[in-house]
Amino acid sequence: MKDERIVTLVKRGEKERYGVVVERYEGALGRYIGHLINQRGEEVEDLVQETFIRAYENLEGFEEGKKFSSWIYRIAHNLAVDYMKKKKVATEGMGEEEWREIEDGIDIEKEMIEEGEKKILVEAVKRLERGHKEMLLLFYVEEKSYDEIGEILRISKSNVGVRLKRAKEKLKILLDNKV
Amino acid sequence: MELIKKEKIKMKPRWIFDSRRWGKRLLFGTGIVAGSVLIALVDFLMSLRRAKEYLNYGEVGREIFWEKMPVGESILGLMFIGMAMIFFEKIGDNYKMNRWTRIGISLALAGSSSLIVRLVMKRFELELGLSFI
Repeated sequence: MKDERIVTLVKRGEKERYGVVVERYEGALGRYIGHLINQRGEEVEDLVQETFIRAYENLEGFEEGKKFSSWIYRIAHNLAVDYMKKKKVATEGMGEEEWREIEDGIDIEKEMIEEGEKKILVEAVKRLERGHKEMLLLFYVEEKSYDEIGEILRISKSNVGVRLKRAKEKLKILLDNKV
Repeated sequence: MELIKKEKIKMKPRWIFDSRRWGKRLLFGTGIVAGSVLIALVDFLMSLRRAKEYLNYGEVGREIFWEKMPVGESILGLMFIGMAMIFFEKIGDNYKMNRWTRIGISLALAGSSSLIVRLVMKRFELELGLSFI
């Protein structure tokens, strides 16, 4: 059953169906938030939980005809950004292991992802500022389309293209300088 | 999920979201209307004070022009139009538009409604002018 259909049913009073939404998005949102805030464990779990609570509270505000996944990612994104502002989380600081997932997801410049250069790529993505990092995460790791990224970040499709290009360029500069 | 089942976490009622949506539209409309009325008023006051004529008299003329310019009304008018631009982006899917398209639409709306207000004012210019004098 599609997310949007489940949401309609939850709105009509079938609350237990919200559990399906939680199951579907728990992992993906945890991964996205974790990468964005450079944290793991309790902080991420709390933010994921908060995302589901916020989403449930605001479910009546979810407009029919829209994509639910973009809507819930937007809530998660906003919460993660608020968390970073509050805690003044630096964009760097994530361990090798955590970044391995990103490393696997990124297909940006295949020749650069050869075995010997993987470490450099990992370092480069770690060093990117939030704006660039979120673009690469959403496009390559979360595999969102331009439309979906636009809905999550509330920017135009053309702006998504521009920002993604800049993020790739920034990553390339870092890679050229060997981080 | 437990909290949801026990109704400790509840959905906010629909009217909150509807009123937010309409609030944004209202603020956008207010910005356009107030902005265009003020800009029309500025134009009216400038013509009443014959400010533009002074622009032909060099540096001194320009100084007089600025003295005759209703600065407060102009700033306030631009602020209202700016407010309209901000809220235009927040309405529905307008954020998907290019920034310049959004600015263009807001300015076109403010400009055209200002022109309409100005035309209406022209109809009553004599009475209005007298009341200002």
